[in-house]
Parts: sequence; C-alpha cells; structure tokens
Amino acid sequence: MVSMWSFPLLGGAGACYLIGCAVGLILGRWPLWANRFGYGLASLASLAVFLAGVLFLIDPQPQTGILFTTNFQWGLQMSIHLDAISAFFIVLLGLGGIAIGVYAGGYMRHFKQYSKRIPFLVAGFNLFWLAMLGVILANNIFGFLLCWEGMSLVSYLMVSFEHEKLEVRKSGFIYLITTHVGTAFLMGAFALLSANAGGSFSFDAIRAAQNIPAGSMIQSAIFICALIGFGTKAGIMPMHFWLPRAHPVAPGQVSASMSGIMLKMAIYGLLRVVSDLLLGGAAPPLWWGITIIVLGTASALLGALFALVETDLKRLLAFSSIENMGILFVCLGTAFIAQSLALPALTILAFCALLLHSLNHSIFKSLLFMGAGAIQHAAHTTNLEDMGGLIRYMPQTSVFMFIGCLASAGIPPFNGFASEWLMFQSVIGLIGHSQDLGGKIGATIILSALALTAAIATAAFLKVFGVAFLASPRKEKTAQATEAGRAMIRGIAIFAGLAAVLGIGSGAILWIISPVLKALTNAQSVALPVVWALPTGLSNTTLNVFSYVPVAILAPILIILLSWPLLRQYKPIRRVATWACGVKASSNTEYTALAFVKSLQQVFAGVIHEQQLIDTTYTLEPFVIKEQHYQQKREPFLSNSLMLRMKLEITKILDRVLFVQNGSVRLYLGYILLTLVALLIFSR
Amino acid sequence: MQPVQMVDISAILLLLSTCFLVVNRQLARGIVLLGLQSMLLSFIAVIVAATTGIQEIYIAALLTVIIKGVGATIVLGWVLRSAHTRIETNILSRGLSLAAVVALTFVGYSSVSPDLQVKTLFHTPNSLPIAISMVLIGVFIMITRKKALMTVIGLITIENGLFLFALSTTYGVPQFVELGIFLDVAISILMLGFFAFRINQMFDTLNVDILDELRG
Amino acid sequence: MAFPLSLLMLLAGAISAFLTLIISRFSRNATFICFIGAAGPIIAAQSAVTLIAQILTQGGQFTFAPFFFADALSALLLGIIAMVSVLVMLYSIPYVLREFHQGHLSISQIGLLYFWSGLLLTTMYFTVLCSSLGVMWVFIEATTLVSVPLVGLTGSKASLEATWKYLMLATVGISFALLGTLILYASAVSQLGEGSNTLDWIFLLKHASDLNPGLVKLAFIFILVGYGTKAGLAPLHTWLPDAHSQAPTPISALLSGALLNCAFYGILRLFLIARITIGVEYPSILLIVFGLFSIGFVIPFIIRQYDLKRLLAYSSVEHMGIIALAIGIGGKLGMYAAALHMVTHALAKSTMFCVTGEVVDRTRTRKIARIAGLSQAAPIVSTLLFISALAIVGAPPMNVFISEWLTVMAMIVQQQYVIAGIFLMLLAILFGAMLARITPMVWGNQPPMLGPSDLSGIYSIVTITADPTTPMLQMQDIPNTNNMNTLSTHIDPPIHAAIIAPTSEKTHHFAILNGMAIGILIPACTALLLLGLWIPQWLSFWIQSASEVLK
Repeated sequence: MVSMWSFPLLGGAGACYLIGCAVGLILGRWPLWANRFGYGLASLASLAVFLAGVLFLIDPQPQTGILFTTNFQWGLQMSIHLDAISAFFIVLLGLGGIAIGVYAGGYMRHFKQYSKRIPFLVAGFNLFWLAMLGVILANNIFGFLLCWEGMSLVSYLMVSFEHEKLEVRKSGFIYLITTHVGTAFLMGAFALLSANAGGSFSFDAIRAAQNIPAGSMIQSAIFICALIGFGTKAGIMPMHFWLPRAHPVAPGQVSASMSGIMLKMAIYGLLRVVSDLLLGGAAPPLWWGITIIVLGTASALLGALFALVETDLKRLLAFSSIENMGILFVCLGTAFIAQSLALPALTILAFCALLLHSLNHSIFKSLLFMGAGAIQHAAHTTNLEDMGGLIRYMPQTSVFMFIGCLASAGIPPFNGFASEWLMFQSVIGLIGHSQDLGGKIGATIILSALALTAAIATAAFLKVFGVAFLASPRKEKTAQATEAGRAMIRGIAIFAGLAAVLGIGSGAILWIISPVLKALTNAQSVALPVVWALPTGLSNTTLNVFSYVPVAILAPILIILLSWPLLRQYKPIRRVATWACGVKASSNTEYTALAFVKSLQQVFAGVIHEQQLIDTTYTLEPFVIKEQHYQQKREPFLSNSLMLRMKLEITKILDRVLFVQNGSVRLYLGYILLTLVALLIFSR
Repeated sequence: MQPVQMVDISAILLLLSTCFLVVNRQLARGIVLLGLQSMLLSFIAVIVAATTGIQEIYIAALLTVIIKGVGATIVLGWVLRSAHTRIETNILSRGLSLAAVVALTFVGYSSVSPDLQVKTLFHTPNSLPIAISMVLIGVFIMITRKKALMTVIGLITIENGLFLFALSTTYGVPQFVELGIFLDVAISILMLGFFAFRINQMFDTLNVDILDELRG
Repeated sequence: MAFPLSLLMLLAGAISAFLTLIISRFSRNATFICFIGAAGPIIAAQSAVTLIAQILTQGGQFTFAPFFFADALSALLLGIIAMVSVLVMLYSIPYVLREFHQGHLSISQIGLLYFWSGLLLTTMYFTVLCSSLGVMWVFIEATTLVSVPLVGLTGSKASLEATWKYLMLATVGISFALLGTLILYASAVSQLGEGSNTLDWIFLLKHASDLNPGLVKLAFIFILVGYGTKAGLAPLHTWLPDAHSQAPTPISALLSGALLNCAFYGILRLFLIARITIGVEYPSILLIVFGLFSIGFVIPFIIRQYDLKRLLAYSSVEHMGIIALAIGIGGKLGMYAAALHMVTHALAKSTMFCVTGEVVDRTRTRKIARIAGLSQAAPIVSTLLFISALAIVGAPPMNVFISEWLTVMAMIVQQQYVIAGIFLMLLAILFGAMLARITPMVWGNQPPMLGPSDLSGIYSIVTITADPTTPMLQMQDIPNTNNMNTLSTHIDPPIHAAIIAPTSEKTHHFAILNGMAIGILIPACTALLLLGLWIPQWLSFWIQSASEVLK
C-alpha cells in the first residue's frame, strides 16, 4: 500500500508550489534569492509529485480515490482524484519540474535588465506547475476548466516576459486568443457531457451516467469539440500557428516547460475526456481514429519539413514539437482504430507507444529547449546562421545537446527511437489488420509518410548540431560564448541522462505503464509489448517484421567497431589548416543552415514556399559582381502579411458598421422607434 | 352630445393637432400648438372628471394646464427668445412626414385590436389607438427635427399621449402614482429646457445635430 | 418586522446628500465634504445589508407598509446597490480629492457630485423596495433625473452632449415603460376592478392568469423597450457609452454597476407576470433575441474602440445582454446564472471602472492608443487593470466566468445547442477583442526618459507615449528634481510649468491619495479572484433565494 503516501505527497507539492509563488514575490527585492528559492521549491514540489505518481503506479492495489472535495452550490466544486492515467501524467510532470526547476535556478542570472520582473516569473513558474497539476488531478469540470485556463493565462504572462519587443507582444497575444478559443470548444464539450449526466459537473457522475448513445450526434459533437479544443493546445495542424510563434519568444525554462510538459496536457485531456469520460472504455466510431491519424500524420510530416528549413533554433524546436505531437496523434488514432476494430493487442501497443512517446518527447524536447536557452544565454542569439563552433566554447552543453538531437531524430539507442519504434510497429500492425484494401492502402501511405518524417527529422537535427556546434563561429558574439552555469548544466544533464537511460531501458519502465493501459482499455490484464524481444502478446500478428533487439544493441557496437580501426590509423596527428582549394578556410566557407537543407527544400518546394531575395551590387554591371546578398524568407502559415491584410479588411468592414453609432441623437431615437414598431408588428 | 363622443372627438382633434405639429416648421407656432394640445387634453380630463365624479381628475386637469399648458409654453418660449432661429428645417418633406404619420397611426390602431378593448365607461373606439399613435408620432417628431426645441415638443407630445391613455382607459392611475408621474414630468421638462438652454449657450445653436462628437 | 428603522436608515444617503450640498456652500474643506458625502451612502449600505439579512432569514415576501415590499429578488438588488455603493463611495474620496487638487473639480462641483449621487443611491434603493409597479416607474424615472446632472457635472462640451443624449433617450424610453405600466394597469382594472393596490406586484402576480393576454403582451413589449433603453439592451443602448464615459469615474462605476441592474429589475418584475399570463415562450424569446443581439452588437465597437471608458460601457451592454439571455433561457440553472451574473458583473464592472480611474489619473488620457507600458510605470495599477479585465471578459479563475459557464450549462440543459454555440463563439470573440485593447496598455516599453518607477507605484509617474507628440504627465509624483530635469526637456512649455509648480507637500498629499485608492482597489480585485474560486455559503444562499423568486 505504498500509494497511501501519494496523497500527502501531492498535498505537500501543491503547498510547496504555492509557497514558491509567494516566496518569489516576497523576495522581489532580491531577484537572485527569489530565483534560487522559488525554483528550488518548484523542483522540490515536482520531486514530490514525481514520487506520488511513481508510488501510485507501482502499487499493485492503489488507492484510487478522491483526495478532497469542496462542495458548493451547483457543483462548483474542486475535487481531486488520482487514478492510473493521471498518475502517469504526474510522473511526467514531476520529472519535467525537477529538471527544469534546477535549470531555471541558474537561467535568469544574466538577465540583469529584467531584475524587476524575475520575481514575477518565478511566481508564475510555480503557479504554472500548480495549474498543470490541477489539470491532471481535477475530478470535475469546473476544476478542470479553471486549472486549464489558469495554465493558459499564466503561460501567456510568462511568454510576455520580454514584452518590450513587439514580436513578443504579438506572439503572446496570438497565443492567448488561440488558446482561449480552444477553451471555448472545451467548454462546449464539457457542457454537453455534463448535460448528459443530468447536469452534474463531477467526472464520477459523468462516468457513471454513460448514457450517450454510441454514434449519436451528441457523441460526435463532444468528440469534435474536444478534438478542436485539445488539438489547439497540442498544436496540431491547422491549429498550430500559435506554437512556432509563442514558444520561441519565451524565456528558456518557459519554452521548455510549455513544449515539454504543457503540450502533453492536451494528450491527457483527450485521453481523459474522450477515452475515459465519453467512451468509458467502449469502442469509438471508426472515423474518429481515422480523423486523428490523418491530422497526426499531416502535422508530423509538415512539422518535420518546416523544422528542416527553419534557421531559428527555437522555432525549429517548436516545429519539431508539432511533428512529435503529430506522432502522438498517430498513436492515439491507431489506438482508436484498433479499439473500434476490436483488436485488443494492437490497442495496447498503440496506447503504449502513445504514453512512452509522451514521456520521451517531454524529456528530449525539454532538454533541447533548455540547451537552446543556454545557447541564447551565452551567445545572445537563437539564429543558427550566427552560431557555429559552439562545441569549443560550451563543451558540456554540446554533449547534452548532441544526445538531445539524436533522441529527437530517433536514433538508437536514445529514447526517441524506442517510442517511435513502437509507433511504427503499431502502424504496421494496422496494415496487417485492415480488412479492406482501402484501409491497407491508407495505412501504408501513413506508414510511408511517417518514415519520411523520421528521415526529415534526422536531417533537421543533423543540421542543428552540425551548424550550431561544429566548425567555427560565424559571428563575433558567438565566439565570446562561455559555458552555461552549473545549475543550468545540471538541469540539462538530468534529462540527457534520462534520454540515454530510457533509450536502453524503455522495456524496464513498461510495467509502470501497465496500470495506465488497463485503465485506458478497461482490460483486466494487459500483455505488454516487449521492447527487448519479440512482442510476446502479438507474436501471432504481422507485427514482428523485425525486432528492436538487434538494432538497439548492435547499432552502437557496430558503429564503434567500424570506427575503431579508422581512429587507430592516424596515430601521429598532424595539425594543419584545412585544405580549401588554396584559399584560407574561414567561417565564410562553412555550410550555412540554409545551404545545408537547400537541396531537400527544393525537393519539397511545392510544400515549403520560400521567397528568395538576391541583392547584388556590381562593380561593373553586369560582369563584375562586387557583393551579393542572398536571403530566403518563408512566410509562416497564417503569415504576418496575411494577418495584416485580414486585419485591415475586417477593420474596414467594422468601420462601416461603426456608422450605426454616429453620434446623432435622432438616429438613436429612430432605433428605439423602429424596435418598438417592429415588435408591435411582429407580435400580432 | 354624449360625453363619450366628446372624448372621442377630442381624441381625434388631438391626433390632428399632432399631425399639424409634424408638418409645422415655425418654432413659435409649434409651441402654440403644443399649448393647444395640452389644453385639449385637460378638457378631456374635465369631461372624464365630470362624468365619473372622481375629484382627483380635476386636479390632474389643473396640473396639466399648469405644467404642460402654461409652464412648458413659458419655458420653451424663454428658450426660443434666447435662440437665433425661428424656423425649423425638416429632414423629410411634408408629404413623406404625413405618410409616416399615417403609417404610425396604422401601427397604433393595429396593435390595439378590438378584442383588446378595455371595458370602461368611455368605450371610445379611437382614444386608445390614438394614444399609442401619439406616443409613436411624438418619437417621430423627435427623430425628424433638428432643433432641441422641437425635440422637447416631441417629448411633451409623448407625455400627452400617455395622459390620454390613462384618462380614456382608467380615469387616471392611483393618486400617489399620478402625483409621482406629474412630479417627474415637471422635473424632466424643466431639465430639458435647462439643457436646451445650456446647449444654446455653449454651442450657440439649438440644432441638436451639432452634438455628434461622441461616436463609435 | 422592524422595518421602519432600516428603511429610514436607507435615507441616510439622501440626508448626507443635502448635508454636503449645504456644507459645500460654506466650507472650503474638500476633504471634509468628501467624507460627509461618502459617509451617508455607506451608512445606507450598512442598513441595506441589515434589511437583506432580515428578508432572507425570515424568508418569503414582505409588505412593510402601504408602499413598501421586498422579496429575495429585491434583496439581490439591494445587495448589489449596497456593494457597488460602498466600493464607489470609498473610491470617490481619493478620486475626487485628486481631481480637486489638480483643479479639475471645484468645491461646488464636489458638493453637487455627492448631492446627486446620494440621491441616486436613495432612489435606487427605493426602486427595488416599492410594492407598486407604478411607484417603481416613478423611482426609475427619478434615478434618470438625478443621474443626469452627474453625467454633466464636469460641464465640458462632450459631457453636455452626453447629458443631452442620456436625458433624451432615457426619457423617451421611460415614457414607453410608463405606457406599458398603464396598459398593464388598464388590463388589471378592467379584469379585476379598481383598487388602490391594483398595481401592486403581489396582487398582479396572484391574479396574473386572469389578465388579458393581449394587453399584457402589449404591456410587456412597451416595458421591455422602455426599461430596456435604461438597462442598455442593444439597439436601445446608444446613450450608454456616451453617458458612462463622460461621467466622473466613480459615477460611471455606479451607473454601470448598479443603475443598469435597477432598470433590468423593472423588466424582471413584468417578465414574471407576463410569463404566467401569456406563457413563458414569448417573453423568453424576446429576451433571448435582445440578449444575443446585445452581445453580438458590441463586438465591432469593442474591437475599434479608442476610449477606455467607452470600452467598458460597451462591455456593460454585453453583460446586460448575457443577463437577459440567461433569463430568457430560464430553468433553475438559467435563473441562478442570471442572478449570479448580476452580482458578478456589478462587482467586476464597478471595480474595473475604478481601476480605469487610476489609469486615467496616472496617464491623464483616456485614449487607449496613447497608453502603453503601464506594467513598468505603475506595476500595481497595471496588475489591477489586467485582473479586472480578465474578470470582465469572463476568463477563469475570475468570478464572471462562473456565471457565464452556468449560463452555457443552462442552455445545454434546456437543449438550446445552437444558442449555446453562438454564445460561446461570441464570448470567445469578445475575449479577444477586449484583451486586444487592454494588453497593449499593460505591456510595452516604459515611457521614454522616465526613471524606473518605485515598486509601490505611488511615487511613480506614468506617462505614456505611443504618440510622442503629446507627452501627458502627471507631474506631482516625480520624486526628485533630477528626474524632473530630465523630464523637462521633453515636455511642452505649459506642462513644464505645471510640473515645476507643485510643492513637496502636495506631492506627499498625492502619494497618500494614490495609496488610498490602490488600497481600496486591491481588496476589490482580490474579491474578483477569490469569488471565482470560492462562492461562500451565505453569498450562494443570497443568490439562490433570488433565483427562487425568478424560477
């Protein structure tokens, strides 16, 4: 009964976050101390959250129960509840909080000009984690919406940290509006759910009611509302446009926690609302899964493509987040399809992939964002073209970023590979199990799109590491970069270590997931897919195209073995300047981020629309060129110019409407008379 | 002539005087018409009082004469003397104005269908619809006239319509309510006069169209 | 029941009103006048609370005297008026004194302000306490008449214009309401016979089913249009942005927070009768149409708004629409949501108006485009502004969210899915529109050439210069001469002179006043936040009882 400790731990964690918030504000005059204590408390609280989740999951007979309930009129209560699904997500939350908290303690030191605002950021950070904890633990609609919107608002405030910059203000505002529209859809979904449970706001009552007829309009409406609402938060295309704007402009720890943890809240919400409350473990209609999987594949592929051609490091990572959220949606869609086709083994495999990749993505994406923050801190830029050679100036950061890049690219033996592998397996399983030709073809197309995604993502992260860390710096300021502070390195190191450990040890943590899978599928026992060997539960399926084992173990060994003789060969190392066809090699001759992907970009020119600006000055026109500047611009989806034009058009229309209130008292009287006469006539 | 018929005819006369107000362009004549209207109304009140024997209605008639007949005329005349213009510019032509008046009268008549008639001593076919029509036409006057003065006149027309309604259906409302209504009407007329005066003072015109700075 | 005492105590507002008027003729001490003027309404509010407690604890309906009557619905309105009046009267002290010391208000204007606002509060109390619908009309008309001078108090051209429009439109509207009341009376008289209590609400409610449906329908139309004009339902709301933006800020808070609800109270009383006589459907549809139209109508005006106080006035139109919508949707939940929304909106809107007063005081402009960087120049004021703006748009965890959410729930429970969808969409648009106006004021660069502001926000200066041609400065707050010199190079001559003028004593004085204002507003904003997380039992009971009357 170790899970009895979960509740006090969670209570303590909540209190700790609140104290952290208060401490941040109270120590406002001493930002350094506010930083140290505030983030320290956040880490401590997250540790408690993590332990609470783990204790709950390893308990064979956990206390699923309500922590507390406050009763108000009309169900305006805030009750808290812990079950396997929420336990898994609080493990994820806790892990993220520990590392990011440690990292953030060091991050703000150099922001001298913002010393007045740092205490507020500390307070906001603590509140943000508290709100996310509340989202996961909420056991009624009111509490959920409260925490959900609280999470959005606090993250908006944190995104607006450097609000002197116009770009930050704009991005923050777009984020705020988008997320609120998402919340409006969630309100719709919840209102429908609650009305079907007799107007009760309690999740328990909704779960117990289960009287929504399968395949009915109401059911579909709830699903669509939830999909749009949570999909907006998850950054699924075409609701993704806020994400590449908001994540890059936020401070390092904020973008790390938003990309790493907050996006997972959308996955949690979908699981909670659709799988748990709406379906209660029953099979969803087939088209739900298909919708999700199509949206997921599109997001994954396009996200990867946009990440590939991006030259801003943090924006690239944001696009990569879209890609990974797409992969998560593919897993979810596969699970739903498998559920509606009554394929329990495949369902479990897909859910397993979903949960594992949620965890893994939260680890490596937080790691990468923290690394990007460290670079921004040291080199004062997020533009890849300005970087280069950072491995010399920031050796530790570089190593950890290397691990992050590999994990994100899905290279074994890091954790990104483990979960993507399960994802591929489940999609392959889908091909095998499809009864009709259309299904098989569709699944095959999705599989090939995902394979392409993986390849593009690899290219993108190869670019990141190659351009940012290798060769020599392209800008003066980059050469002055120094290694990140100890606290930051520690935070990054925690996740880098986890990315490595979980890559090899994914199989070892699968048993922690099993209670979650049981809860999601309503199964008494689940046969876990075995990552280290042939998936036993699925041995009679076509899933076993090949196994993880040889790849995972042999690949690194092979690499080392192959490279060893090469390394041995050059015994006396001769140091000379790089041969560059006779001229002196300088940073000018390096591959730029743009050039690196130019050929790939040309292949996908139909999808990625680039604007090329070539500015040439001649010494003797048109023969002798003095200088040539090449610039490539890509307008984001819902581009700024499009938005501006929309704004102008809307403004024009609105200004015409404004005439109705033109200041003439006679006109106003006319409205009253007209209203009255109309009512008199129509009411006859 | 029966008292009922007298009330009925007076009501029709009221409607006619309202029509004159609509087509009228002389501010001074408008004030005189308004005074006449109020006198006509108090005449109706006297008939009702005499027929029903309710003493309070005499008081109401007296109050009407004092506040609307004399008071309003004096206040408005005072404003008019301080203003420069004597002529009102109508934004609609006379024909169109009359057409609108006819339409509004129709609305008034149609909204009070015969089966809605209140069972009263004065079962007049016209006074109830005319009361509602007068209210509507009063607003119409306010809409189509630019001078603050005519706006006030329109407002008093509305009040007259209301009083006609009260008289012809229920011989007035309970006394304390009636007292309150008279008090309110008196104060609002005073206020309107005062602010019309202030507008004239500040903007040097009685044209309310100048008041369009606050918009959007 | 011990009515006469608490009822007489409600007159404290009127008594202090006359006192201030008299004192302001003799005394030159603005502080004294302010405290006298504010004391009366606060005493009245206290007795209103006593009255509410009596009404609620003893339950049911009360007829205290020939003309007075109260039930839980009156108690709701009494509470709203009391709540708003306490906040507004407390806030008015620093506001008025500051305006006085800056020369924007004279002693006699202060006297008039407290005189009319005391009368306004008294008439509002009696509006919700009278038993006869006729007397209620008289009092509602009286609220118009005593609030008109308040709108025109500053005597500027714009305020005169607003006053004229307010007086004109409200008078026309109220005439329609009178016609409606008369029609109702005619119907009652012809059906039930004449009596002194024929217009009594209880009497009418008891015999509502005997009334002539056609006449009651006609009466409801006239009353809806009439009181609807006063309550600010679109498209009858046109006077509202003018009047609410031109009145002195505490008065705007009073008008938006309390007066609109009083006018809506008139509609509610007739709605309850009409519902019985002509069936619930017709009045409900009218309210839903007016409600949705009001919510949707204001969107362009909020998006394109240039004036901070007009923005809030339009938002009031929206919220009155929400109340009408919730009433129209009906059901147990809908009525509770409507009653709750009256309370939450009153609190949020009056707080926000007062916060706006602070913003305008610091920046000396109401033009939204000229305000920026508040969070750096005046951190506390900007935090209050942001919190109250979130409350106004109904974002969780603010109190308005609860009532809006319950409104949505009521729609879903009544299976009005389409209306719920439209409502949610409109709310989301309004959220964006409102915050698109508010956030640029909060964020952004600190006004150039101003040193970092004091954390307290009390000594800080703020001035805003998105438009550099008009550096508006509130000069009294500049802490030392060094700053002043840097500043002076950037300021037009007349303003420059004004900056140098204030003595250190005066600076101190303003610091105290600013601190007082902030000290009043911080608890108010905290209340907005806390009520979104927690509705105490007594509050819930109070609202619940009112919704029982409406149900």
